[in-house]
Amino acid sequence: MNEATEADWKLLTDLLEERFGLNFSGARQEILGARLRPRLEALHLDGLREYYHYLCFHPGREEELAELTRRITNNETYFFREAAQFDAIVRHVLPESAHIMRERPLRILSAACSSGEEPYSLSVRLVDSGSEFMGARWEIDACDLNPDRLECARRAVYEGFAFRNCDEETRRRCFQEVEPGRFLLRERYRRAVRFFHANLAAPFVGTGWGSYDVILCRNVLIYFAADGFDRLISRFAQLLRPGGYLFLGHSESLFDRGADFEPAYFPDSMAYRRIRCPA
Amino acid sequence: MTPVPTPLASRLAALDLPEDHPERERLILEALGDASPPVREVAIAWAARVLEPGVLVPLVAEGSNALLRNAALAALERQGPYAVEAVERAVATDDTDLAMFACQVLGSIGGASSVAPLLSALGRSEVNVIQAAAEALGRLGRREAVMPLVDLLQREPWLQLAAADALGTIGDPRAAEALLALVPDTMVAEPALDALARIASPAALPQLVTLLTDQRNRRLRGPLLRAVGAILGAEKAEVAGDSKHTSTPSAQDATPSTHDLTATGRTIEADHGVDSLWQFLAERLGGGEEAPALPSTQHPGDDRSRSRSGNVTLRAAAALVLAGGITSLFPLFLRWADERDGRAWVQPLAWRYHDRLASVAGSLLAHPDPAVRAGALWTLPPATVGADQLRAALEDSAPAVRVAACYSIGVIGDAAAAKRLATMLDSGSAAECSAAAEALTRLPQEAQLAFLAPRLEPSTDEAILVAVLGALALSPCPALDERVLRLAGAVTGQLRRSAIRAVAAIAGPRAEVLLLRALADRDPGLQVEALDLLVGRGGDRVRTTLLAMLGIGDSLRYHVIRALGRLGRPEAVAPLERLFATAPLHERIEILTALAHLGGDAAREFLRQCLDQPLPEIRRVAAQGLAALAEPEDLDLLGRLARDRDWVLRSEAARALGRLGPGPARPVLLDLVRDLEPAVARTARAALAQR
Repeated sequence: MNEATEADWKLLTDLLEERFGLNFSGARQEILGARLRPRLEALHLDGLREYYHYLCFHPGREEELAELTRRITNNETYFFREAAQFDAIVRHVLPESAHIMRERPLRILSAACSSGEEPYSLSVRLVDSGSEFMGARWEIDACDLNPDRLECARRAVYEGFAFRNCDEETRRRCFQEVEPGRFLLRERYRRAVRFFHANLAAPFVGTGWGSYDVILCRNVLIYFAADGFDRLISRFAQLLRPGGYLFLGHSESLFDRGADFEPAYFPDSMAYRRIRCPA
Repeated sequence: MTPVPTPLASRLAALDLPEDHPERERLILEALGDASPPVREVAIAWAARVLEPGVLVPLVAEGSNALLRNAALAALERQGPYAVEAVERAVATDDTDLAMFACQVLGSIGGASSVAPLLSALGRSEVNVIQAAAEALGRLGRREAVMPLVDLLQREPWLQLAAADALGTIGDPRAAEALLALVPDTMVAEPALDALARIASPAALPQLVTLLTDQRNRRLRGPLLRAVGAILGAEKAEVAGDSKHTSTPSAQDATPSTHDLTATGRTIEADHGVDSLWQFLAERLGGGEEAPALPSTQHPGDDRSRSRSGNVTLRAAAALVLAGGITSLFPLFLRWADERDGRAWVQPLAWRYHDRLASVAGSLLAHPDPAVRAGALWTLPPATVGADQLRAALEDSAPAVRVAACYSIGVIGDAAAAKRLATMLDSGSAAECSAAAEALTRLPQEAQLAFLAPRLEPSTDEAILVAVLGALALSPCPALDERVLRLAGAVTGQLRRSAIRAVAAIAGPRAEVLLLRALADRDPGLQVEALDLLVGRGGDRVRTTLLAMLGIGDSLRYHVIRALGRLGRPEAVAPLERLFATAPLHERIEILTALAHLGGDAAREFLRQCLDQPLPEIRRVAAQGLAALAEPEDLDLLGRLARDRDWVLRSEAARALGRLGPGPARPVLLDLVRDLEPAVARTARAALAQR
């Protein structure tokens, strides 16, 4: 493979930032290079500039861009990751949203849900809380850029690493072993979760989007460049009803950015709350 | 009354003034101290572009305004070689802070001319300046700095720390003795050991080993072990894939350490206690990590952090265990060879110390853990193991051991194992099938004819055929060529692909014709693969066919254009130029890239003309081609490209000027070094550094 020049890297990373909002500058270039190498081999291309030309001008570019999304998205996730945030939704957001749930179900969005562990974890917590018996209702929408991961999410069959933060008792109760080492999430936890394909870096159009009471977008913004970060946060602000909650990963912050939000503190976690419109 | 601050957007817009605007310099200077990071970032780029270093240097001395000072430093760093002279003068100033920051900037810029002022700065009285100079000299990596830096190792800890790190970066063995003197009882013992690991001087080995085996130095075991491992070659280049077929221990691999560590090994072996060095090594070899050893660029969330390729301390432990002949720990080492990733570092290390492993081969091959038995087969020279033992390993209960045995049998070409290999080929797992096929291709011709020929029939199970053809692609057997050629027209795509790969390994016109026919295969992926294989073979017939295919406007033509570029035959230039006028955009881009590969005056002239094309991407690719082909007479043209509005053209101009070497291009490159687009500035800096 030809050695990539400064210009090759910039052209390609600018394109990825423009299309997907993902930032691969600096040290992340190495990660990107490792993930792209199999694509260059598959397309019989000699270097990054040729791949950039392929993505921009070749008749097969749309198929390749779809393939690229499978390669460059980080699919690292597992059940009950940063579980204190799920507890905050069950113990605090749900009770204070009782007035909403008298009219309609609470609407929750899991943005960049990968293979579904996040929305399903929340579903498990909500169902197991017994809130349904007290009149609570909810709908969870979950979206991701990577169609392969969404397919995994819809199948809801998991193994090994997905359970690294899930105790044995919970696994037995919530999952059914369909073959050795592979577990299907039980139907009662699956039914409130709907999946759809979406590029968070593109304008929010088409099916799937609505007005939400809670948005989870965790460990995603760290991969966004500054502009993409700001754009996405302002889109979330549009999607959340005033007073709605935005949950980010523990290493992500809206400190000094996002005037539409204010911090909301729970006993073991925090979130950002959409500021209510002035009366 | 407090003035109302100008909005961010207005402050940013104010920086984008015309070149001759009288207020521009003042506004840039003002924005360098702006409270907003985005404004400062833009101001730094403009300052690097339009302000002279003489204007920026005094701002570095601006102690009362840290924002302004840091912005000025960043602008000087961006100016790079353009600012060197002014910054070098600032090192000699009486202002301590200015001198210190000037040293830091020179370290970032990295020019060879800065060594002298930085060495003078080592003689100053202020610790901050000396420390910054030492760090900068380390970044410059110049050997003339070694002895002055060694002298600093006698000074206060801050200076010892800077000097040790710099000496480690420079990597000169003259520093080893002075660094060893800092171990184990100084505050900088650990950084000194880190530097010794980077220097990897064999002369330091005896003392490092003595320190490592001394129980009193338990807290330093990790860094001591890494330093020892570096000297023992634990981090030498890995082999790609499984290279056992082509390599047995070479003279270089087998080079013993300059220092016999068997006595050390016996000492370590004598104590298996809880806190012993033996236990420490066992934990490292067992996969326990004492400290993070990920490359600095690797994000903790990156899935490669779970790679089994081994980390620095693990490899160091392995090297010491082998060099010291600590046989009780050999099994823990060999288990790493049971996986392909592990073999990449385990095999070269094992070959370097193969005599140690060979001395206990029998017990390793009989070890109850199959991963150890397989690891022994992957690492021991097959001749040491012997044909009988290898044949016995083919009957092992563990598939991984049987696979490893196949590879070893292939290396020694043991025909007596052929029948058993054929059985594995017919009924083994996928891994066994593939390993058995590869081993059979390495046996004498009679065995190949007896056991492979009957399996190269269209009626053979496809998985077996694919395995055999895959092996023949790596290691062709002339006696089987005829059968392979017949399979090139197979029905299924997978089989045709395997056959075409095996055909490509066969010499002669019949194989070439089959590859040419594969260009019309119904599987587009196979067409492209056949094209690649043909390009690898070269030849007149290939060139003629490919030129004829330029007239067929199908999806393969894109690849044909690229293939003609790779073939490197000048006859292709004119047909490609003719096609350019009518080809779609993605093919025009490839035509220009191919012309750049082909080279010559005609191609260069065509690329020059394409710089006048209206489409930006065509101009960019033409400039990219010229960066590879430009001659000294193109300097004026490159000078114009260096001033183009498109940053890609400026970047290509910088690359071309760097390739052309010294001469009148230096002022142009010094201008590009201050380009607003960082990618252009970095390219220009690299171009200047080439000269």
